[in-house]
Amino acid sequence: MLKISNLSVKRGENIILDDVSFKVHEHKLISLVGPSGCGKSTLLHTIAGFISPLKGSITLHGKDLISTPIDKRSIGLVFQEETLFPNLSVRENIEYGISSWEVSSREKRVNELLELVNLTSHASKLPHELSGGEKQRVSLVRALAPQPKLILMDESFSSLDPVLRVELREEIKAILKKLAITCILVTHDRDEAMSFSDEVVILNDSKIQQFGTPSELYLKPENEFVAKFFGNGNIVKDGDSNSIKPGYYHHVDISDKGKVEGKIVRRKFNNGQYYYDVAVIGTEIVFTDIANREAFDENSKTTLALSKPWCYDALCSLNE
Amino acid sequence: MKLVTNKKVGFYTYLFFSLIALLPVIFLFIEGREIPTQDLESWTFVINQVVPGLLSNSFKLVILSIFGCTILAIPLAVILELTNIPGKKLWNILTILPLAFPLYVLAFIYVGFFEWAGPVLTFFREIGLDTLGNLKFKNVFGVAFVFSLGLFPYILMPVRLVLRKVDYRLFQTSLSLGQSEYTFIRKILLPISIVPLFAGCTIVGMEVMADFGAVSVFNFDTFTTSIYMAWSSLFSLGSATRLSLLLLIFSLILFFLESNVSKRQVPLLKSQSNEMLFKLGLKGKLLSLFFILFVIFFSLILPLLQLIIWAREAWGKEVLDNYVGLIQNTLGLAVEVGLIVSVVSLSMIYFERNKLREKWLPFLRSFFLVGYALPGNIVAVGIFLLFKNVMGTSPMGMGLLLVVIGLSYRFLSVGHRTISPTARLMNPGLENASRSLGKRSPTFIRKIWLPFLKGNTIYAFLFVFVEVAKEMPLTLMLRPMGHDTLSTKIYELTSEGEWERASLGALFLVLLGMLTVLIMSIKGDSLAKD
Repeated sequence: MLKISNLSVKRGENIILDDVSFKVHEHKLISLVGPSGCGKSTLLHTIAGFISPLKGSITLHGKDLISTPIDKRSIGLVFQEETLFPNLSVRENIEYGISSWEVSSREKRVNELLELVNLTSHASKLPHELSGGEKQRVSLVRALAPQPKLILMDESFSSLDPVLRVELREEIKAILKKLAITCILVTHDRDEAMSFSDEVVILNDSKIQQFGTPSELYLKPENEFVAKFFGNGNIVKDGDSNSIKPGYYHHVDISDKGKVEGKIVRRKFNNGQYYYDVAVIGTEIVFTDIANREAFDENSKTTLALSKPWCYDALCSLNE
Repeated sequence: MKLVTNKKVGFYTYLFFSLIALLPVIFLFIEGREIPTQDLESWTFVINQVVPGLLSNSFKLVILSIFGCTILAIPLAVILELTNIPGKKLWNILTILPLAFPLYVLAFIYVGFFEWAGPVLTFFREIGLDTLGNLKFKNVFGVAFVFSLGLFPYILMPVRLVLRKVDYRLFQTSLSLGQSEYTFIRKILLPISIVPLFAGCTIVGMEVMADFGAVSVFNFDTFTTSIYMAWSSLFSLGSATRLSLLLLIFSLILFFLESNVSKRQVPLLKSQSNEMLFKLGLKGKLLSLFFILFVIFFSLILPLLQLIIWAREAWGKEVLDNYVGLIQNTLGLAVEVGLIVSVVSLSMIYFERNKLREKWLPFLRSFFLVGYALPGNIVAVGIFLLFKNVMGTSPMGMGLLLVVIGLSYRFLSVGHRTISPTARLMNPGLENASRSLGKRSPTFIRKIWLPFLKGNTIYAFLFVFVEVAKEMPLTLMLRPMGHDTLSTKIYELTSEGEWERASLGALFLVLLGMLTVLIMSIKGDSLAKD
């Protein structure tokens, strides 16, 4: 439904987006992820219409967006910061985008939406009387009110504390899925991207690095950047060389290279299992966060079996 | 148990002193309520012949001044906060510097400038435009013109403060919800800025009602000038008291209006975005710059130039020895009051430090600080009545002490609000920590508390110092005969039309005022707003 082709954006002398293309299918939740300054927010703002691209096209259901004025694009926006209108109540905020509707259908719509996010009892409150999570829920339903074809969320969970953040993310994901809304979320948080979305676009240096499902990005990264961004730091070089060094990544199945000898340098317990950092003997490599349910002592020797197909995802079998 | 007793003692002490602080106002009410028989005749004259005119004058003046301030302040606020105009830092400072001019200085500069023999009208007559050349400036429009130039920052500042917080993303959100720019302005921007606008207007109203010096220059009758006339010559103390009571009631109405309006402001977060709502093209930028320069020219540059020119002319003629005495008197008074206010403010704030959550505190504190909300004339009458009743005779025999007490009472608020925000930043636990280390309170005050507040106390002293130097009506009414300060001398000289001779002292006061305005605009948030 949303198709972005050969999109380039320049701000001043800097190229922010360079020849970006991808398609978003209907009812999908997409994450745009990448380090800060990679152009992900620019991409979102270009889709919303706040930035004009240098070249390329954006179409929504086949309709050209770039020539459409912002207020006619029917795209909903949810920002990171609090952007509720401070002088309007929760109800008035939600009504803002549908003020031209008939009174009865408008009221019905607002009540539906308030119920959807369990805020019916807060309808007459002003934004400053709400908690952070409540504010973001109102922001979401306000964006949903005019029945947009697409929802854009710009770091919408980033200002919340970690526990609330996960809760709200799950809640909003459920709502979007229930209403079958297409949504693009910009985030710098890989875990958020992984757990929120059906598909992930990873951006770096103004370019799309990879576009795929979370598991594809994790298990089949197309380059070192993607591997580093989603992996846990264990990167292994191509099997043609004998040594294993950090800092290199290659697609290679090295299961046939057998096992490596290592020493446990650190151990921690989290989420019901142990995580080990293992230094490979005779090299400077340390594999980090290797999970195992069994307890082994620090400084004991161990053997790592590198599983296929993606080495940094290695499962270890210790003390074999 | 001991703690509870201490708390109670503290409360009663504070209550006692705050009631004493309220006495001048109480005496105004008591004495203003009854009409003593010997004053009946003059009061009948005042109420029938004078008061209606005063009411209509004050009403017109307040309305016109608020109107003038608004049409200067609103475009400025929009230009400076919502557009991409270059040079904002410079404009920020230049648009609040007009506050450095005491209104009476601005008034005599413009009267001198626009009077019949002044340069402007003479020029018009010379080029044959006699209608323009014979215009009268000394009327309600002239006064309102001067007030607009001198007071517009009181509207500009609060409106800007709110507009600054309107995040550009609110506008983007509004667009994404399918609403036009116009809808955003109508439904969001205007309702948000109406509260600070209204608050600013009431402050302008209060300043206009309280002004004495500027309206005197214009020979424009208001409550303050009538109180002074009744006081000094024509009528009687009784009439002065009752006129003061009337003005007091208006001032209090405006004061409560202001504090109630300000409470209605919805809290806004700091704007996260640097983008501006209105992106001006070259034409828009030029027009905006023209408007800014226009306001700055008339409110700052022209008056300052005129003052400098006059001061240079007067420099040769004026006997400087006269000025040495005046400056000594002024600085002496300012230093004394500055010191007293600093010490009293610190004592109050020390007492308040662990009672900030008590509900009675703000209420009683306002009794202490009421002096600043009232016009100087009223404070003068109130203080006079207080001491007259305490001493049983005219307190004018107290000499300079009466002026010092009156001015300290009037400007206590300036000292308090300069120090107290910083004092609130100190963690209350610090004092207990100090106690737990075996140090008694005096050690804590000397080693921790006072050094922490040193900077703000110096500013408080400085601000009070400048306020005292500029103050006119109270000093004029309560001073011992012949004890002139710069401001009372300016009053005397300007009532005789001696603009040039008045300008030397005025220039000195304006430069002092600029010092405080600059400190306030640079220190900004850590000091209370004026």
